[in-house]
Amino acid sequence: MISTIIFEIPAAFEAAVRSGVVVQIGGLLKDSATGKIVAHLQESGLAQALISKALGSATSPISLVTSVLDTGASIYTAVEVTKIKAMVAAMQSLQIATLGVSLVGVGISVAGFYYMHTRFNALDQKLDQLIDTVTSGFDRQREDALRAHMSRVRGLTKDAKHAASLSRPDKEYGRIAEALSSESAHFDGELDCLIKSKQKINVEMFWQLTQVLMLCNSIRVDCRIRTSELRNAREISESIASDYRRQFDRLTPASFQVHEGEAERIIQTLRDITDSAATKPYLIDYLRTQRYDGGAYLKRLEDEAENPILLLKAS
Amino acid sequence: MGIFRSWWDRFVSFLRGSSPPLLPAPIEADEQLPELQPEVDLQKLQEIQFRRAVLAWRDKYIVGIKSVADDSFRRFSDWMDTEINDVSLFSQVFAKEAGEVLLPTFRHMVRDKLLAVVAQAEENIFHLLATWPSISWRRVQFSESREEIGTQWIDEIKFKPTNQDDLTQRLTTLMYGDQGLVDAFQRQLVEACSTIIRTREMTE
Repeated sequence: MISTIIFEIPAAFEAAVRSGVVVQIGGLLKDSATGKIVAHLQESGLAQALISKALGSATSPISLVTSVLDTGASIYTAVEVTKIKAMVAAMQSLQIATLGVSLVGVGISVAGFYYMHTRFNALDQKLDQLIDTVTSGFDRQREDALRAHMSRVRGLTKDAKHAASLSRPDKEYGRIAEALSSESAHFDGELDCLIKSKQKINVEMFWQLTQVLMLCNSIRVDCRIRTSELRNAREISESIASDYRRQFDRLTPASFQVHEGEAERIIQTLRDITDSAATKPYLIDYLRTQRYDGGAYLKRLEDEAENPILLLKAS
Repeated sequence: MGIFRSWWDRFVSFLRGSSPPLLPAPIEADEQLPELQPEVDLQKLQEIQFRRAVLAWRDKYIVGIKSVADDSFRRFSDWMDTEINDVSLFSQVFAKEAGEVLLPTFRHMVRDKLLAVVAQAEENIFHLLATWPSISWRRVQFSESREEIGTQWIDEIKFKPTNQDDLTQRLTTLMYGDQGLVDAFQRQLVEACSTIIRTREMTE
């Protein structure tokens, strides 16, 4: 069945999106007249590789594009810069304003655990520095707990990276997904505390916690898809979407400790993240109804070397 | 069952020596598998669009309120500085209450400007909701106490140059403090937005 998957490139839908025949909602394209889903946006392994690299150097996800295109070109080869530009252009052609959709995984996170592990290490280092330097209301006990949870997540991403070499990896993927569920709950709680604090939110701390949370959630869903537990993956992604709505809908540009322009960009990114998470169950359900093998599907995306963004046409 | 039957028939024929070598029967691909029905609700996609639109409305006016507040308060502060520095020595001895001098101008220069933004926000959301015909929306009502916001004025401070810093500080708190003017208007937007989203969810 996997051999029959046909991906399109974003340019195929550009005109339809521009004319309004097709509208983009989160990670999917919908026919505005019939309301039917036309295609699901999908980031390839290439997109994840590029983003992982940038996350190591960018101060926050919203500065990703500028740090890559304006100042951070030194971390990329010329070919990579071209590909990133193509990725940004592709997303803009679908009227996606920010890279927030990529951060949550367009459709499904297909990073391959290698990239996830790289991303996590970058986050781990930054968060560690932040705990030390930012007055974030963390007492000693909470700092220790946060560090312990970071270590656990680091261990689990590493386990996920190695799981494929087991003779029967499904059980291991299941264990990792379960363990990450409770880690995700922990970081969700930390984020909640930060948001509810009376002060305006420290943006750097907010982004680091948010990204760790998103990473945990992406791997949870990824593990379930790899083992073709698509119904369960869909249920988990529905619950994640609901968590993101609860956390992020209440935030406004006035919530953050930054100037208005940046606060508006943060909010825009968060809205893209929330919408993308809300449409993820539609993609997973589509895979199920088409009887696609989850593992093979992800493999196909991970192997994609040319296009950072692909579209899975819904029949 | 059909596949098993076909296989069994071939097996029996093979044992009887009257058939080609045993091969798995060709599975006629997906035709034999029941079609799987979607378990997601396409109607919910509209809800995602709706939420996004209402949140964008709220966020736009939250920024709008802050921006108008900054601008009008700066003008007001400039006016106040001029006025306070013009107070003669004689008037300083019998200085008026600050509220008495400042309140009418504050209302005119700051509070009314903010009320105008909120009125614009109300108008805007009314039009936005009209584009979602599935629910008959009543006109969105902001808090009834809106007219009262910004009328609790600073007391017990005289309007004279020696109090200028103190006055500036108190006025800044009145504008931007926890329960300040900007906070109060922004909170009304947040509450209106929650009510709209909740109402829609309940009628889904």
